Amino acid sequence: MPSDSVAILAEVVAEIGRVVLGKDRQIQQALCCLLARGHLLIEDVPGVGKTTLSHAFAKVTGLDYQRMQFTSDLLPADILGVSIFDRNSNGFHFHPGPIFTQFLLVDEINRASPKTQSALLEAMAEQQVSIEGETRVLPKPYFVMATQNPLFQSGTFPLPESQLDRFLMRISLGYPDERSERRLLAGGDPRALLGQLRPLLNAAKIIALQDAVDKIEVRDSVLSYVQRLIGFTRQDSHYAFGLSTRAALALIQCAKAWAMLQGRDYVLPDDIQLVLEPVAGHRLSAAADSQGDGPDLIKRLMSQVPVVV
Amino acid sequence: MDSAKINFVAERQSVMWLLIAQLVAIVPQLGSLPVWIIGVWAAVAVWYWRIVTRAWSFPPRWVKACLLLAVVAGVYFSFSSLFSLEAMIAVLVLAIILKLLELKTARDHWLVLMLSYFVVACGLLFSQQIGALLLALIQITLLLMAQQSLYRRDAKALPMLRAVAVMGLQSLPLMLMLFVIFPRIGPLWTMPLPGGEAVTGMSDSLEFGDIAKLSQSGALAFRVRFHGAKPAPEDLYWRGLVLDEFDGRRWRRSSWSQWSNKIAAPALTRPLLNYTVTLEAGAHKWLYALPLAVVQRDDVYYSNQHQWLASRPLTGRLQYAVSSQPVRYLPDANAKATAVSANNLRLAGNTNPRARALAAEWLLQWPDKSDRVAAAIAYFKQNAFIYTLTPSRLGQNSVDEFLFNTRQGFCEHFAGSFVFLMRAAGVPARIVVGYQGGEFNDRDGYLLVHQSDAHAWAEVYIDGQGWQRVDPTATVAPSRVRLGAEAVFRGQDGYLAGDAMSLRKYEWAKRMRYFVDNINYAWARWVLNYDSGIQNNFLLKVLGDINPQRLMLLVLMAGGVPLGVAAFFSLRQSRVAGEDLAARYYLASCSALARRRLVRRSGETPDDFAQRVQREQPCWGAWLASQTQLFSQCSYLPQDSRRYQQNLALLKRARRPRKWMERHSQTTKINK
Repeated sequence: MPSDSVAILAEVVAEIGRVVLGKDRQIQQALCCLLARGHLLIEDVPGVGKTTLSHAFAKVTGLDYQRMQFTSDLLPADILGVSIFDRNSNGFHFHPGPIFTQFLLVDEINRASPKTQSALLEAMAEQQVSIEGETRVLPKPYFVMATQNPLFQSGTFPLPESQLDRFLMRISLGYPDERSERRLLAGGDPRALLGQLRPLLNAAKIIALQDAVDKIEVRDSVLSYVQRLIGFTRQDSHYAFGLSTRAALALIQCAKAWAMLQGRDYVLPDDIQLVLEPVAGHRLSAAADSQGDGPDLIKRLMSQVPVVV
Repeated sequence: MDSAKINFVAERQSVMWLLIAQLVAIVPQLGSLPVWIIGVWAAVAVWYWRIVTRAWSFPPRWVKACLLLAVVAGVYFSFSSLFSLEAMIAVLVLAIILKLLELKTARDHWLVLMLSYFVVACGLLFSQQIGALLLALIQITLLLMAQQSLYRRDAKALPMLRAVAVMGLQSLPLMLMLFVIFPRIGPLWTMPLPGGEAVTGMSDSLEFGDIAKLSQSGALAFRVRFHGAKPAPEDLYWRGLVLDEFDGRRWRRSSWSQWSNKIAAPALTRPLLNYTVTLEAGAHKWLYALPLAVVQRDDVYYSNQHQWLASRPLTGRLQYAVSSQPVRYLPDANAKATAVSANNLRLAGNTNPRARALAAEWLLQWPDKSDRVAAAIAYFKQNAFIYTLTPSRLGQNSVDEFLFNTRQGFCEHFAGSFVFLMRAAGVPARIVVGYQGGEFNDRDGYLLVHQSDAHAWAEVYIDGQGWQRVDPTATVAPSRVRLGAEAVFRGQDGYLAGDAMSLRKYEWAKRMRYFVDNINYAWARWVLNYDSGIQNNFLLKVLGDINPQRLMLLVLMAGGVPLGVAAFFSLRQSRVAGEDLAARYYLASCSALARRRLVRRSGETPDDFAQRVQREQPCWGAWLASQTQLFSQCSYLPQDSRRYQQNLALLKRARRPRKWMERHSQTTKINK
């Protein structure tokens, strides 16, 4: 792995960190998700910097950027685009929707109706859209960052498990620590800084980095650790159902990207553990008769499954 | 509560195998168990199958209790007791069958299988023939397959059979070792013997018709292997028991002959006839041999009637080596003619007047006793006696009727009447029962003596000489003695009537029979007769002296060496099959730390653990960091086989912290 890509990734994290203070871990996770060719779901209460993060991310990665605010009356055509009769050319002309971009920010995805949600999520999964019988390929790289409010807030349509599975990672930002918050309060709105951010990457560089992730070495001992992990969720009675093979693939892909972010060309079990919560958290649910929620389940998984046997 | 345990319902395939194995374990036992057991099995099997397919549920407790009471009552009524061997086995079998109705955990499944092995072993109480062994092997194979099906995803017969075969071969050395050197301990408690009435053989009293009945059986009495020359068929009088008391109808052993009758074994002079007899089990105590015989065994004794007797009934097969010296007269231990006469002239009551009258005539006519014997033989020769298996029935004065009216009889008629005449004529005489002749197995040259060779003859006392054998049957039917019972009776109605072996008139059937018997004989000689005596001899030969140290050494050699070899190969194989050596050495390092109260948590990654140790007990930190790095390089870093081997060697060498510390403190000193 070329050392300049390690350096540039560190620089990207630092650059975004100028705007999103004290959230280096989440910035790395978002970057990891991009490098692993996945989509990111950010779940948190309003006002902790979800949108700021996405703006900064778009700016620094240098990708085409579109932002959509989902509402309950949004229709699939609003995001996919429509064909309109053009009198001059005497034919229908397709007007692509906001989905045709490299980096799409979807705000409050759980406010839209299930119909609209599934139109978006299908496009994310297939990397293409079929409109009026014609298949249109989405640009590359294609990265969706969606935010959602916690489900206990009113006026939301919770994403079903199968839809959550389309997101490679789910993270939450959380409140900033005291020192960062003080700096935010003293320095005024950090969005003012957004304009000063330099684009450090571009589409071609990102595709190259994504290809480099594929070459990261994963040895048998790590693969068997992953198998032990998913095997445990399938056998232990605390889990409603076990992790799928897709979840295991996601774990490995994210661990590779994470290893790259750490400047390594091989995956350690530590990488698996670090990406375990964002990758597996939204794919696990507690069995009906057992206590605890997502974090507890992940904690149990990490502490019970031996790393070395 | 663990939900997996409650909901255990065995896979259908393993249930199928369990039921098949159970059926095959039970069915051969039906010979000694009531037949209705199979009905119980079928009903319970169907019930259990319905449970497995979730059509029905497990029966409640009270139903099970009622079923248990019902089958125990059934056993009681079938055997009119619960404490015979058969009844106890029946209870065991029924318990295993009923256990199906509460087969709720994998452990229950195991229990049923293990008890079924016990049932198979019980089958061997009734027969130890080679056929029984083959049957038991089939049963055990099926049980092992049923056991395997519990752990296999697809319970295909062939792969399971292969696995069972491999396991069987692997256990063979251990089995042989246990067979050869495990101590043969006598039974710790007496068990009610399996039904004695089934044993055919000579009894210790004789009435007209008894031996004729016995000769319908083709069962084996004993086998003899001669070491050296084989005697002529007419000399093969296998002397068993002396019957010297007559109550008018039945010949018995006199009570005096059964008390303090032990005398020293006779001194023999050459040339001797040496042979080994393998006697089948029977309920009697006497051994068969050609007089004058010395039996080389410690647990038998010689009686004053020249019989070899065991102190307990020979319920098991017995093998003994004999040396015989053919003699014309058997000396009487009493030596006093008066004592001999007193015991061997008695005739109870005043039955058979005509025979007595005839004998009285001879007594007047011939002053010499041997002349009277000759007269009696001549009487049998001159009158047209018929030697037959199916003589007419005789009434109260049986000797008279035989001698003067029917004149048809079997050996016991001739011997009995002859002895009666002799006693009435004042010649001491007695009946001897045993076997005469036998057939040589062409394939191997040993002699087979069947129940159909049973015979009775007489002995008369010649003053000053001893007991002389007289066989009146030989006078009437010389071919019986020269050619054997088969030659005389082949084709006659009663002969071997109750025997499947009546096929023996065909040549091929005969060959087949010899072949089968050959196998059975080898089985009996080499396996069934391997008792503590032979074991001791063998161990003496191998060890020179039997003491605990040498025995222990033998066990270690015989058991440890094969096990060690097997362990070596299996360990090697597991390494070859991709055992993670790096993980092993790393875990060894971790357990070295665990003894120092630094336990790696199961979910802790090597790096996390190394950092924690560095924080908590820095003295081990450097060592563990180095080990962790080596381990990571072996397990996680891109592979390079040369560096892998180097790292692995380093990891292995330093897996104990103490050594690493010593080495490193030295290098640091040198550096200073």
